Amino acid sequence: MGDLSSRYSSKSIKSGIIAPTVMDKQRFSLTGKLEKNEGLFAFLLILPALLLVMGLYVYPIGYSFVVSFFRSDIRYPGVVFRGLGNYIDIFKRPDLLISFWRTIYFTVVSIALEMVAGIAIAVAFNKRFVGRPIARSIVLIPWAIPPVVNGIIWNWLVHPKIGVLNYVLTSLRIIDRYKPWLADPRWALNIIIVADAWKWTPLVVLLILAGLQSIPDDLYEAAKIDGAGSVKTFFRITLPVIQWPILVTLLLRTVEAIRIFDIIFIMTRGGPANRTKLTTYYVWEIAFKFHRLGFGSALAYLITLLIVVFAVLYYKSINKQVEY
Amino acid sequence: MKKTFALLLVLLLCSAVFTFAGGGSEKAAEAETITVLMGIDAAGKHMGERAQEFTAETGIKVNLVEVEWDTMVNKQAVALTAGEPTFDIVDCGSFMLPEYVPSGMYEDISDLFPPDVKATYMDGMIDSVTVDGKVYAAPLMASWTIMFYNAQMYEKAGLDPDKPPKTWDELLAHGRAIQTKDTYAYTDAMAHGEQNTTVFFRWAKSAGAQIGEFRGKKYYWMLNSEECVAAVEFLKKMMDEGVMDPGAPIYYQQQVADLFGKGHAAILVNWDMMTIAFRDPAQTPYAGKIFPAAMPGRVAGLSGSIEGHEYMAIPSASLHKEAAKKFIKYVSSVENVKRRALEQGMTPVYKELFEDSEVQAALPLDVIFAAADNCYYRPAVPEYAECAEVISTELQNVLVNNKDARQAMEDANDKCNELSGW
Repeated sequence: MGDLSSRYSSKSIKSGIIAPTVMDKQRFSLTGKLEKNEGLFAFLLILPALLLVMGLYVYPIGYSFVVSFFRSDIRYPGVVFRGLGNYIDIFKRPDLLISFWRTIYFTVVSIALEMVAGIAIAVAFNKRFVGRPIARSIVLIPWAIPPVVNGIIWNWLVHPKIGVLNYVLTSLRIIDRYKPWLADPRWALNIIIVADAWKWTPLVVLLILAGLQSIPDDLYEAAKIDGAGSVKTFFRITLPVIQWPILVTLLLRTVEAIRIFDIIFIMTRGGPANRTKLTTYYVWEIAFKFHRLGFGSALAYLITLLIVVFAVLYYKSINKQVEY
Repeated sequence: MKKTFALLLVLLLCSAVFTFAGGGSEKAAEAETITVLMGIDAAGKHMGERAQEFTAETGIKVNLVEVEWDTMVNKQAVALTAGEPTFDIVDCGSFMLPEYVPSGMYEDISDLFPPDVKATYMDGMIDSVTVDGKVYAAPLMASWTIMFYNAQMYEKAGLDPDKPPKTWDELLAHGRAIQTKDTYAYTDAMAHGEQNTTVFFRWAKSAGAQIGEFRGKKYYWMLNSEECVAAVEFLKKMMDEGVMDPGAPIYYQQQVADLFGKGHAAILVNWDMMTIAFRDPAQTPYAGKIFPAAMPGRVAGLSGSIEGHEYMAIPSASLHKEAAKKFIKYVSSVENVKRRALEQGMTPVYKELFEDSEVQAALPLDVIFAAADNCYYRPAVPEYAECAEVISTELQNVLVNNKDARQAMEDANDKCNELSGW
């Protein structure tokens, strides 16, 4: 350091002569450049993750979007540009249009079940009671079960020969004979909805409970002093305050529900008679079972558009502030 | 110093990413392991043992992936479409070749079938997997659907155990006698998918239907014929009268075989290879009481069946083609095919084995040949998978009371012919 002070003396600067030192050499090396350019260094640090994201997400998304404008079918070699033809063909297929409405039905009903049950359980868990920690752990179990396993469990529960549901209903004399529930088009989709809601309700409980715990106790005390009952307290205090977590949960679950595939594949493969074949199942079937990659990609992007519309609507709602 | 270290770490991570992304070709040079994708039916109980024997003999390891047929078809479709060397051998039917051969996704294995070898196979087995003079798959087993009935349940119902039904009317009459609150006379694998379509095909054949025909290179479907409609109406009638298990629209082949073996139904139509399984006390309490028979027809003299020959193909993307060919040759040797016939009831693919006394004793060849005479061969056309889906959907529409049989078959006919380019 003593060298530095003598090097940068007014005399050496005025003379324009500055002898090179070890530190000068470093400033002109790669690491020296990094010393100066923090932005470049930061970019290099995130480069591996960026390459992974580009490879696993960005490239496939871009490639499939391009494919959606072509007839890409391994059964018929040669790629044919179709422009918007694949997208237009979707609206010419009544079965696909019906599947959109079925998907909306599935989404609305399953989310309604999850939200009602989830909020009720979260409100209950917000109060102290004996065994609350254990109860909270038990409630999380369905969420921890993989979707495929969840589907298999529910298949066994409603099995036409050995299912618990049939056993209970015949024991209670509600039905006189064991019934193949998943073979009945009136019941198949609704059973899948219940199975899906059972799995995802714990997530709703977690997110709502986190919101509930931010509500100060003095609000409830003040309401109690003013004579508000539990129902009024819930609708006037609790619900408005947890609006934000509710909307976040709705957004997350709506996106997942629209994309549902695994539980349908496991439980019914879209049957009986396509009654449980939702739009994402059609994407898989068209693209991979029937090899029509271009058409399947176009359908996938329409689903994406539907999800984006919902996401924008929710996002606008989320931005509202709640003051108390 | 810290930033130097960080820079080195970044370079290392980047090289790891690229190595991971492009490491496939390097793996080909390492120890040979082939991955074989097979349907459970084709693999049977002993394919794992055959694989171990092969490894002991050649040093080539075999990673056997056994799944249910529909799942196998789906896995294969994804792997082949992606062009990844996931599998070195895949199970297939002859009707699947038009899906994969045009794009070169199945390897030409004609070198395994010189004329003298080809002549040893059953007539038509190699021809059905030959496209433009090139052979694309090796026969693994021959198979047809036949009927099985539980003679003990027949006796219990007061029926003659030596007289299974030969006509639809007899089937209904026997069914009414056998069914109870907990037991149905007949069950079938009619879960949504191609296997459900095969159920339609065999019942349509038993009605005397001509399901379709080739006109030039295109297949013309005749699903709205009087016979096809009658077949669907009969299936619906069996369900309405309680003769057929109402759970049939959600059962798969393994499930119905299991249910039948446990006595939940007295009559079943399934693949001929189930003969040995139904004789095994470990698999059914009714071992020795279950017998094969020809499927009943609409009238006496008619019967129905469907061919289910399975083959082994080598995906073009495979990195171990020569090792795969060795495994194919090993599994399809005359000795091993005979073992599969005796141990698992799989109909052999070699002509000479039908003269073998052990094979004749093990398999109900008279019933099997009768099935072969009355069978429907699924058309080898690119749109078959989509047509099968349409037929399955319309059949289920009838079974769940969404449509009547005539309307369903008209709709199926129109859609299938549209898919076929008519």
